[in-house]
Amino acid sequence: MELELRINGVIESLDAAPNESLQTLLRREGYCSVKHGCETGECGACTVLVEGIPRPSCVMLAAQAGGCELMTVEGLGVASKLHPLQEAFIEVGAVQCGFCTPGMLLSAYALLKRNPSPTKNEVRDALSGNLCRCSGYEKPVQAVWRAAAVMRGGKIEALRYNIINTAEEQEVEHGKLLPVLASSAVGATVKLAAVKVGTEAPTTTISREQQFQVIGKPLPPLNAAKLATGKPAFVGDINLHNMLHARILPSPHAHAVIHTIDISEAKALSGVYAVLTHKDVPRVAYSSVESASSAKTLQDRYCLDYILRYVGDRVAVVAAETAEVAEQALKLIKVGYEVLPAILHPRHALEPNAPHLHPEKESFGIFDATRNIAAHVRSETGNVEQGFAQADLIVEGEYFVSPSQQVPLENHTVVTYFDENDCLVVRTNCQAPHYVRRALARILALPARRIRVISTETSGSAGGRQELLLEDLCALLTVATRRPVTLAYAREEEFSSRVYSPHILRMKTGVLRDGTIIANQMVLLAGTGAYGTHPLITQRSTLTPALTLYRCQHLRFAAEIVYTNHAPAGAFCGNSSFQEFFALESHIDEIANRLGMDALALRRKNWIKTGDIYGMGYDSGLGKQDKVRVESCGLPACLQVVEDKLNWSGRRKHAATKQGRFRRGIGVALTMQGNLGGQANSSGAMIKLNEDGSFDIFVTAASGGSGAPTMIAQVAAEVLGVPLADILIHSSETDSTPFATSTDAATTFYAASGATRKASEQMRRQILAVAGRMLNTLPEVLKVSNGLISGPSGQQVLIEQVAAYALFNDGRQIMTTTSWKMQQTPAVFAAQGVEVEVDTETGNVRVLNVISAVDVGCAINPLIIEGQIQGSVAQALGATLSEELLYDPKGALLTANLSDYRIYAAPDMPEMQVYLIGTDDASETFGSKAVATLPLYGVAPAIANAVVNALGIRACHIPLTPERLLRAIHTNTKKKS
Amino acid sequence: MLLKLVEYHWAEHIDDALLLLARLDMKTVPLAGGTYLLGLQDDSVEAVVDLRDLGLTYISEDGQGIHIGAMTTLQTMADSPVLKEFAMGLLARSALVSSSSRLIRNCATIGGTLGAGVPSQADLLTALIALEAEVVVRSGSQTQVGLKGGSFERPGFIAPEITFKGKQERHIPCSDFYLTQRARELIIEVVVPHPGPNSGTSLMRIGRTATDAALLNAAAMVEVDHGIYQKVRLAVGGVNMESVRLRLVERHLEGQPVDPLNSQALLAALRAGMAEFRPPSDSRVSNAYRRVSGMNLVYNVLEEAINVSQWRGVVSSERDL
Repeated sequence: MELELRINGVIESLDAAPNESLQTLLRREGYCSVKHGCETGECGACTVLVEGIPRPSCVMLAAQAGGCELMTVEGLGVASKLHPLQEAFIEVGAVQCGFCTPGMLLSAYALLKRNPSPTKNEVRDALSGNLCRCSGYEKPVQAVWRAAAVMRGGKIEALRYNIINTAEEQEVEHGKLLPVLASSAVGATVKLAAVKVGTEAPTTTISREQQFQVIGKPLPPLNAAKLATGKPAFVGDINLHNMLHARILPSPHAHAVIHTIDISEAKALSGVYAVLTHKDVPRVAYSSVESASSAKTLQDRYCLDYILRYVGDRVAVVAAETAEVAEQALKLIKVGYEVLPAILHPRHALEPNAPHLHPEKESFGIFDATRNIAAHVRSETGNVEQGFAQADLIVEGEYFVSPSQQVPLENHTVVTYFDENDCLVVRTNCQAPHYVRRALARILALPARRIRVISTETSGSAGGRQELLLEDLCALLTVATRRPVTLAYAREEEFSSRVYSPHILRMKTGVLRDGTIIANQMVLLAGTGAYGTHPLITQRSTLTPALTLYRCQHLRFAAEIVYTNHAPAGAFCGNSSFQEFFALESHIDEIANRLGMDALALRRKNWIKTGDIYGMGYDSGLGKQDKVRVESCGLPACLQVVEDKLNWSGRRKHAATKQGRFRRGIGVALTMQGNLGGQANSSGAMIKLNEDGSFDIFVTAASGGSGAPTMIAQVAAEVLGVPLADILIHSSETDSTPFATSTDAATTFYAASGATRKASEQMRRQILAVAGRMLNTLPEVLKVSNGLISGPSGQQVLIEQVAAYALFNDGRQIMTTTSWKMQQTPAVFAAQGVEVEVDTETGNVRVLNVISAVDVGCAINPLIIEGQIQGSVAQALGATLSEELLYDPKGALLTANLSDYRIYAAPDMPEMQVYLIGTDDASETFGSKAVATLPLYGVAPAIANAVVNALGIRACHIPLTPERLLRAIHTNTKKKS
Repeated sequence: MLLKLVEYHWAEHIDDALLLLARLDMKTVPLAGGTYLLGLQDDSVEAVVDLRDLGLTYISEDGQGIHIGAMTTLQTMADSPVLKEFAMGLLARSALVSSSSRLIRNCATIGGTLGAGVPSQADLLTALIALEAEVVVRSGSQTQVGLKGGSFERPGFIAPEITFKGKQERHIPCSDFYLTQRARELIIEVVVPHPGPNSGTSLMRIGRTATDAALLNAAAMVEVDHGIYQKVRLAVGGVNMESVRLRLVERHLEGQPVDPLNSQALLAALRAGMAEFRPPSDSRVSNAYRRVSGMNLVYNVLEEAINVSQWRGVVSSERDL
């Protein structure tokens, strides 16, 4: 039917099917700012203003908007003339991955239209329908407020960051940090000298950041303007000529064998181009999480298999002219299943009569397929049994973490096609393009040189995008049809495709009377789901960094990773530290409680310090463990800040003294992320100087809302002495960037920034050599600042002129390439404190305040780092209190939408305080440490500890839902009576 | 997505909408905000009738009570100055908390919420029951007219294969709505009677986060006259559970003296009356939890409603002086 719509002030007459949603219509017409995150209107990424009212366009028929005035972000402002809201979003750092930004902008625009001076709560309410996984909503709310002030013509305040530099070489020993809070304008740092109790006035040193021009400055991400104007930056935003749409037929059973499959009717349907089943594809074992090592790691997965191992596993895949035709074709595929008994809990996997999930012979690398054990880890230093024998007190505890998910707002999407050179191009939002290429080359039996993987802008995913998910099927369909194919998950499929695996952890710790931990043991049982993708299998860190947080002679870590008939486990922030820190830090509080010691004192007594060797090291294969030292440790300063801000001594009252229905409590947890040795990561970078004085840098760095490319550009700009605008980063494309061995945010950042720094240094030397000749002086005496090279006697030349001179006079190209092997990964530390209020009648936990103090080394970009921390806290709150995947007794997922699976929205957020603690680290990139998702780990144990402080009852199972807590309260009262 | 949807109708008169909904050849359903309907994977729906221009977006007040047009959105209700005053803001508040997302509240309507019923997960349904609201529905019966060439009154209106049966209007109490609702009936408006003087209301809910869909919610309306419970209305609902009235508790309390200092009496009445409260289990929350915390929740809403009514009583008597 014909519709007349006024889109951004232009009257358009468009043809739409009666069942077409407004979202698909607008995206079809090229309005890419209208994103697709779910199909139920709950994520808000598809927000459109209809007659000035923000509405989710995915649950609105195009026909419903007939005759209406519509507005999308394309109509709000363009890069050359941004709307004040867009400017504020960019300036404040509210644009992280940028997937939710257009929706937020429109919701905010509508708010400011009806209310030019809203309160912060009104802003939160206005953004309540726009879910975000990167920002924790703090910066978007701040941005809307700022824009409101600008639009009113009011005064705007300078942005402030809480950066605390611990004075160099002065260890903070259980003393008082005297806050010398110099008020800070943009970029300035708050100086807080660390002084021991009893010493005199605080020493002041020039902070390291002040020596830098670009490093340490809160600069907005390079891609912010692109994302805030809704440009087609994501995979799903391109629409190729003749593109086919693919859909997957999911398995209805948790465990079954396909004995018959009939695709004739589906194939005969008009508009269907290909139907693939297990009979049509090569049976090549692969792992969706490829590993960097040359050794053959666990490979137990097949593109399409006759055995189905979870509800949602791939039965067949269809490519058709439209998504609807593909959907219809799926219904015409007739499958005969032989349903097998299923394993739905990790504990059942080990039972003697449990079914075997991987009986096939082609898979390899499985530890014990007959007992469903995918992998098994044993690691011990010292002699733990002896340690327990020496201990005065042994404390044991069992902790449970339910399955959850990363829930990136952008569903996994792939587009594949053959380019003019007959190369297979794969556009994906996976963050590991080189690994995808490697796996595809094997699966498709194509030489790697004929595959080009482009990793586009990706939405924040907390590590959920480090593996091959749909690329293989999409590529197979392109090979079969020779046409461009797009394959994307719907929200429900996204939910049933990946699990952040369930864990059962047992802690056993031996301590002396004075609180010294002498033996510590962690045993964990985790499900990897149907395929071996658990982080403990796939990451080379088959160790827990959690156990090394406290110095201890005797350490043991044992893990059993078993197969279950659930969706495969995915990485959540690199390794599985979230669960381990929940167990460890809950357990430490429990020990303190049993010893009658202050929880902080116990931690201070045992924690790892600068110069210590990690208690456990990666086994390099010769039976010897690597000995790695901690170069710098900001834990004392971090904990001190949290202690002060929580008013620990004043407010940490014993639970028995608390009365009434609502009880408050405070809790603390420490976390760390360290590299315990093992094989070093490597990366490379290439730089070329352009004739206009700009630099093209080719380096592999996944963004995913982490802002890594911007921070890498800052490193280059600092070394080269140019403004950030002169750096152009080209990342994540197999054609032009070198292979990066790591995929997670932290190590990728170190590897890429190290390579970039080295390449930039070489580049700088080359430039200065030419400039020296031009200025007739020695290159060594030249200084570069802001793109201008100046000599000692005042002679000056621009980098731009040097480039032109080299190119046209010398006939020489100024460019560099470099390979980089990371020598060390700095250890990153954090302390987090929370205050909660517990309703003893309903079991409801309300978090009032979350304080995060993170040891960042040197904060390369406080704006980006602060955003990362706030985002991690928001995710952690969800994982601790509300996010949980629930299954029916047959293994089908019950929480398949964003209302049943509840992630934190803007009005749910508590107050958040973020402190960046500067320490002196010798890390290769200006002493910076990658925060990544470290702040995710501490929130859950801190909340659990705060609940104990409020009620005297330990919650050992997260998420801590009202029901779980109320049950714990009732069990406790029963015990007492 | 509604794969089989082939017709979209935009109706300007309620009669036209009723004609279309009465079709037997195609499954035709009314389309209000769309947030529930379009999120469904329903292959049976073949046609929709968009109700947006039927003039059903209104909130008005008369002697009977408050009239809320079926197409009034939850956000409009939450922002309405009339509803913020009416029944101490119970309706405005329950509309506000019915969805955590303002975007959804901008679309979802009271009619659509009632039509969707339990899957809407709306606290509004519980509040409407506590306030003894009535749903006005319209449909046809009596005469059958073949309408191949349009109806007598609207000859130009082409609606093939329709069997129209004239129109009829019914008022259904909210608490019985899902029992007595019939197919092809269109919700026109909701009428909420004025609560008596000296009445108090309250709404409480439990969720995993502040704005989560309520695992359990409770709404109370209490009318107190001269220290005696004149009228008590109490409803409890939650996710994937039909909101129910706790009639036994109501009967236990009505006619009894109000004694806010004696919590034991109230508790005893609740204990006796809550026996009939048998909530279902959901994947997110068990029936046991709902029973146990329901007791506390109901106690708290009653207490608050009584307090509000007494406080209002005090204020009004001061005004009289």
